[in-house]
Amino acid sequence: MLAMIRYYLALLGHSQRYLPAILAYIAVNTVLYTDPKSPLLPQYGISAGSLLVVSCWLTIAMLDVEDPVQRLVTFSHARRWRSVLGGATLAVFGCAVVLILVTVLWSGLRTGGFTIGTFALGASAHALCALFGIAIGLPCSRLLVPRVGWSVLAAIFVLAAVLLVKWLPLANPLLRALTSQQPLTGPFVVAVVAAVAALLLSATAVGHLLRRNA
Amino acid sequence: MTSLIRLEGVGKRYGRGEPVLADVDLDVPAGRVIGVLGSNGSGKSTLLRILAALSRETSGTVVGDPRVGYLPDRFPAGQRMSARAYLRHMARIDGHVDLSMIDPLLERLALVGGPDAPLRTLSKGNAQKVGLAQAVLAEPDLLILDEPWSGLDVEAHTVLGELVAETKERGASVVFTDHRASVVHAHADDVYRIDDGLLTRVETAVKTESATRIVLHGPSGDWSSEPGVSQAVAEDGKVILTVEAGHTDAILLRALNRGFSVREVAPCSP
Repeated sequence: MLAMIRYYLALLGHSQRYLPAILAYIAVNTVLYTDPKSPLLPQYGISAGSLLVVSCWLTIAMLDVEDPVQRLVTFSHARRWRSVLGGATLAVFGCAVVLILVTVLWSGLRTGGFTIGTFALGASAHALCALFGIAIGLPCSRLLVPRVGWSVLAAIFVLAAVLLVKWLPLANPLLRALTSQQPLTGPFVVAVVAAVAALLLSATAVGHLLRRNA
Repeated sequence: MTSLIRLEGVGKRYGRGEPVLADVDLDVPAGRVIGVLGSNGSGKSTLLRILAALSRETSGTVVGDPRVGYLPDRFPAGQRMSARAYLRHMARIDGHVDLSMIDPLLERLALVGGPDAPLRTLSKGNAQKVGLAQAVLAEPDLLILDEPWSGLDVEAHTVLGELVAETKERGASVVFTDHRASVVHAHADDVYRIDDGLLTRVETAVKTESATRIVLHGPSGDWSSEPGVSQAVAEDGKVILTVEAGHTDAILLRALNRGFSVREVAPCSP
């Protein structure tokens, strides 16, 4: 699995397709974490939502580097779709962890420090959003959608639903609770269950369809 | 002989289209080189993908799951990473820790630009060399090569022949395809022919059968896909064909009907 992660990170690194998304994310952070007196949790809500989009972008960008025949060659070495999809997921999540650290450390420095609870809550909310982003990116990537235009449209549609539709118990309840400073326990538990379930469901469905279409 | 992988009544169709393979039986014993002869669109690549577990049969059974090295007919090299870095990644994914054989292998294949050449800068032939390297690097139990001689220069042909022989010597098997009978007969222990998804064994007697060299003069045209034509070379307004002996009369008739003039007919080695 480690070898798959390294390969995918190398693919992404060489392609430079990570740059637009990461620059945009850093720009969002720069604008957000400027006022030391502003409460952190609402700002975490916005940057976590941004990270969801960035994770989706990175997943699609990374999986789109290989053309279908090259992917078959990679699969002939990995021998299991589980390894391929697991490697891709962990590679993007690794990138997201770096971005989460940047966000929480930056916010901490700008506000002159924070409690461990705030740090943990902010980091966890970002991590959950990253999982949602990967779960959306896997089926919207070239693995299942051969043309980049359809990939973009599918991803935009699902991202909008996950981020904006209030009655969908995915990322929206958690982000709303963060930004409006409402009680977080309920939305947080829902988001944990939903993020893990969404990622497992997405990876399983993609693996099944890849095997079926092979 | 121990069977590495066996196809029993295997069929394949994509979606609701026509069957690409129909009722294919193929046993790949350990330590054998199997050549599959067929024209474009006959189902060769699909057969190889099923053997490599990259494609799933829609009917029949595949028995056996050997470790496979796979070379597609066109190795796509559109990435910016170097050939060496790519091969290191593939070897690690394979669980193969000895990376020291990468550079000597690329040197043996005479990769233009060397191991540091980015994949996307390589010509088709050189990309195919990297593809061949990734297939043989981890010393798989079953080496699957889709038209491996196409696109390679003459020097690399020799190395490829050596790699196939070395694979057989260490007890592993090779299955390869080509559309030229001479190439398949020259390298394979067992020869099969695939036509419209139907696989048939070519008897040994046919293997030793002679071929015919036909020299034609006339309008240009594609002869390589004609049944029985193992090689077609256009040269100075002439077309030189190497034809399986059994197809000589049919090819001559077709040539005359197409307005070609027959300049020479002579026996030759396949």
